[in-house]
Amino acid sequence: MVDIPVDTRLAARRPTRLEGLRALARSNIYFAIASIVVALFILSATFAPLVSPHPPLDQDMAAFMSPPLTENHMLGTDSFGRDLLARTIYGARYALAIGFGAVLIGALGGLIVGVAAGLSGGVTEWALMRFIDALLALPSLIMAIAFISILGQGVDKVILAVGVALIGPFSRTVRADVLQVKAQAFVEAAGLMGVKRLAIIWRHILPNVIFPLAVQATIRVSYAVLVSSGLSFLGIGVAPPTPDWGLMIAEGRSFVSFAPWIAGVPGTALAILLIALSIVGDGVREHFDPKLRKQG
Amino acid sequence: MSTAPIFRLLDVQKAYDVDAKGGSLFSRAKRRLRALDGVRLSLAPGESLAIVGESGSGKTTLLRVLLGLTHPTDGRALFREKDIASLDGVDRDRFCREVAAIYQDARGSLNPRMSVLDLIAEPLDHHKLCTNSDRSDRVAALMSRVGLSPAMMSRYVSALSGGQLRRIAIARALASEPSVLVADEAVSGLDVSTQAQILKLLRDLQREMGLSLLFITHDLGVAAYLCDRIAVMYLGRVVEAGLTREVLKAPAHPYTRALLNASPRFFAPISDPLPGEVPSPIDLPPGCRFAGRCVRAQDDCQKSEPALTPASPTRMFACFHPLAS
Amino acid sequence: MKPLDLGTARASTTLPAALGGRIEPAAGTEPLLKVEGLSLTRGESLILDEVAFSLRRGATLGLLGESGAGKSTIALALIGLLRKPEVGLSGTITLDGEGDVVDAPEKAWLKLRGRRVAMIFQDASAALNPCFTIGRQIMTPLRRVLGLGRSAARVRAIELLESVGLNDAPSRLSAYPHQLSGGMQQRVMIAIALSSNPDLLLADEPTSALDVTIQAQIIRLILEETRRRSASCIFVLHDLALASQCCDDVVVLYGGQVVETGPSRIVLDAPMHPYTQALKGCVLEFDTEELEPLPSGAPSFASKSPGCRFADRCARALDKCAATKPPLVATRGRKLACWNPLP
Repeated sequence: MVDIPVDTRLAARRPTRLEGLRALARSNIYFAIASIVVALFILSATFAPLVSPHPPLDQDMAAFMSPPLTENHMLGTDSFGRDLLARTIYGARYALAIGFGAVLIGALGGLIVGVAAGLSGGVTEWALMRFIDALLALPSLIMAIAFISILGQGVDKVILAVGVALIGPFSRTVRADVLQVKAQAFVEAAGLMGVKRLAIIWRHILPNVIFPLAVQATIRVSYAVLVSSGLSFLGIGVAPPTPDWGLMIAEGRSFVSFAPWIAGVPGTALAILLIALSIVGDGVREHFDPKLRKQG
Repeated sequence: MSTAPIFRLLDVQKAYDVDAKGGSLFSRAKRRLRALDGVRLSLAPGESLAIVGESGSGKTTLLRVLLGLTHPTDGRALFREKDIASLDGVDRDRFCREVAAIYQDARGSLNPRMSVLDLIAEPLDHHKLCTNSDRSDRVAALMSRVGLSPAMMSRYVSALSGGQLRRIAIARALASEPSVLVADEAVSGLDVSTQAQILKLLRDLQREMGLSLLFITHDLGVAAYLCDRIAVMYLGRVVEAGLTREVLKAPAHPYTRALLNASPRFFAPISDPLPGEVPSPIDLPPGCRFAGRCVRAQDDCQKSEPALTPASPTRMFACFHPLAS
Repeated sequence: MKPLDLGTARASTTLPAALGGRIEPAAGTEPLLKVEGLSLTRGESLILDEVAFSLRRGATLGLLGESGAGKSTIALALIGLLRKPEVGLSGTITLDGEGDVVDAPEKAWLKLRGRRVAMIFQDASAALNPCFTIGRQIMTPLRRVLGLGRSAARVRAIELLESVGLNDAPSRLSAYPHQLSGGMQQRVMIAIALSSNPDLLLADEPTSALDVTIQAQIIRLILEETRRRSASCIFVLHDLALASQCCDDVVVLYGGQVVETGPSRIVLDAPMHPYTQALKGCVLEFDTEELEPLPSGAPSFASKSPGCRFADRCARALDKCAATKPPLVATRGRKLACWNPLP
C-alpha cells in the first residue's frame, strides 16, 4: 500500500458542553450574574424551611403591615401579619415548580406532536398542523384559563394547564427542526445504507431535534412562570393561603397606596427571576445556536 | 465475481413536470424538464467511470437514479440485471451493502451528534459485519486505511477539517465492504493539496481493493486521474464516451473539445471560450442540444438529433460533424 | 475572439471620453501599488507576516496559496475593510497618488473605493443584494461616485452591461439577481466593479463557483476589460495553472508569509520554493499519472514561532528552517524565502 499521510491535526479534544457554558460565563458577565441569581432562587426554594426566617403562614399579631426593615421582619409583613420574606421564599418554590414542570410537559408534548407532524406528511401532517395552529391561536394565558376552568384549581392543575398551553409553540419549532434535519444528507445516507425508518428517526433525527428543543425550553421557563403568576393574580390559579407570588401581588393590590411593599416584594422577586431566567436562556441559545454565535 | 456489469442503464429518461412561466393563477400549464434523456451506460466490476459535465448536465440526477433515490420515467436502471426501483428483500440488502455513496457535502452527510467511531461503525453494525468486541478495532483499521489517526475516534464532525471529513466519509463507505463506490464531486471545495491527497487515496483504494468506481465531476483533470473510462454529459445526454485517455487525447465531440480547452493548463493561452451558457432543459428545440453553442454546427444539426453511436469498440459519440482525430 | 496572448494585449486602447476613459499614465513611473511589511496580528496569532509585493500599472498579479494563507485577508486590507484602528495591522500600502493608505480613515476610503480600488467577490449570488434590481445596484455607484444624473447613469449602466457581455442589457436592468445564472451574476459584479473606472481591481476567486466553460469566459472578460482600461488586477487564486494563464506576476503565500514571488513565467515554470513546487505538483493536467500530495497539516500562526512556517510539512527542511525565518531575497529572476531551495 502506498504511504498515506496520517492526519494528526486538531489534536485538541472537543470541549464538553459544561466547559462550554463555563467559558460562556467567563466571557459574558451578565450571563454569569444571571446564572448565580437563578441558582440562588433554586437553592432558597429547595431549602426554604432552612432559609426562611418564619413559616410562611404564621401570623405575627403584633406586626400587621409593618414596612420592610422592621425588627424581626426584614421585608415587612402583609395585612395578616405574615412575614413577606418567608412567603416570597416559599413562593419561589411554586414559581419554579410550575415553571419547570409546565415547560417539561410542553416540551414533551411538543416533541411528540412536532416529530409526528414533521415526519408524517400528507393528511396526518395537515391535521396535526391545524391542531397546532388552534393551540397557537389563543394566547397561553387564555388557554390556561380554559384548562383551569375544566380541571379545577391547584398547583398540579396549573402545571398541567400551562404545560398544555405551551405545546403549541414547542411543536411548531420541533416540526421546523424535523423538516430541516430530514432533508440533510446523512438521513438520506442512512436510508441508502438500508437503515430502517424507526432507527433513522431514533438515531439521526431525534438527537438533532432534542438539543435545540432543550435550548428552547430554557428560554420558555420564564414565560411559564409569568403565565402561572398571571393565573394566580387573576385568582384562578393557586388557591389562598398558598404563598404564591401572583396571589401575593393580588392581595397587596388593595393596599398599594399605603403599604406598597406587600405587592412590591413578591413583584420584585418575580421581576428579578424572570429577567435572570431570560438572560440565562438567551445566553444558552446564543452559545449553542451557530447562527448567533460570535466569531472567534 | 462475475464479469456481468454491476450497473446498467438502458435508455434512462427522467423528466419532471414544472410550472410554465406566465401561466395564470388557475390554469398552470405544465412543461416537461428532461433531466435525463436516453442515457445508456454500464459499469463493470473493477472498472472506474467518470461522468463529466457542467451544472445542468443531469449528472446528479443520474447519480440519484443509480442509487435508487429517484426512479426513471422511462427506460430501465439495472443493478446486477435487476431493476433498482423494484429491489426488495435479499436483493435490496445486497444493493445497500454493495453500493456505497460518498457525498459532495461530506459535512452534511455525517450526523453531527455522532462520534467518528459511531459514524464509521454504523454500516458495520447495520450489516452485522463485526462483533461488539472487535468493533473499535475494525473502525481503527478503517481509519488508518484512509490515513486518519485512530486517536480521532471520539471526536465529532464539528471539530474536523474538510479533508478529514472526506476521509471519514470514505472510511464509512468502505465499512460495508462494498463492490461499488459512487462519489458525487467528492473532491470539490477542497484545497489543492487536500484534493490531491483524497484523489490519491481514492485511486489507491480502487486499485488495491478492486472496487468499481463511479465518479461524478466537473473537472476533466480529476476524471483523467481517477478513471479509465469517461462519459461526457450535456443537457441530459451522453455526448461522448470511451476510454479516458483516448477521449481526452483526441475528442470527437466539439463540446468535449471545448471543456478541454476551458480547463486551466500551465502557460496555455486562454482559448476562445465557448459562447453563451447551457440553455434551459425545458422545451428544447429539435436537433442537437449543443448546436446553439457549437462552432461547427450546420443545418442538419438543427434538424435532427445525433444518436450516440460507436466509432470503435472503445469509443462512442453523438455528433454529425465530429472533430477529426 | 482570438486566443488572448499575454504579450501583445498589453498595448491598451484608449477609451472615448464618454466611457470615462482615463489619460494614459507615463510609462515607467511609480508602481500603482506597493505593499511593504504588511503584518496582521490577532491575539497571539500573526495572520500576515511582513507581506511585501508591488504591482505595476496595467499588470496582473496573482495571490496564490491554500485556504488560510492570508490571500483574502490581504485583499480585504487592500480595499480598506481591515484597517489599523480595529485590527493589529501594520506596514504600508502605498497606492500611487494617494500615499500610504493603510492608516486612511473610513472617509478617505469611501473616496478610494470604487474610484481607485474595486472588488469582485467570489460568490456573486451572495454579494448582490437580492432585494434590489440589477439596474439599481449598478446605477447606485454611478450616481454616488461619479455623480451622474438618473438618465446618464442608466445609459452608462446599459453600456457597462453590454461591455461585460450581457445581451439584452436594457431589460436586464429590471431583473433581480436570482433571475440570472451564476455566470451572469458574476458579469454583473464585474460591471459594478468597473463602473467607476478603478485602476485596481481585486478579484477574489472570481470563478471558483462557476463551471469551467464559464470560468474561461469570466477570466477572459476580466483580463480584457482591465487591459482596455489600462487598469491593474489582483487575482486571488488557488489554481496555479489558471494563475499561469492570467497573471503576469505571482505571490505565493503560506501561513501569511510570502514564500516566493516573481514573474509567473519564472516562478510557476520552475519553482524554487518547495511549497510552490508542492502546490504545482497537486495540479491535475490530463496526463498526470502520479500525484505527490503534501502531507496534511496547517500552518502555525503563533507569533512567536521564529522559523519558516512551512518547515514542518517540508520534505527539504533543515534544522535551521524551524529556528530562523528565511529572508525574502532575489534569486534567479524572482524573490525567494527559503534556506534550502530547489536547484
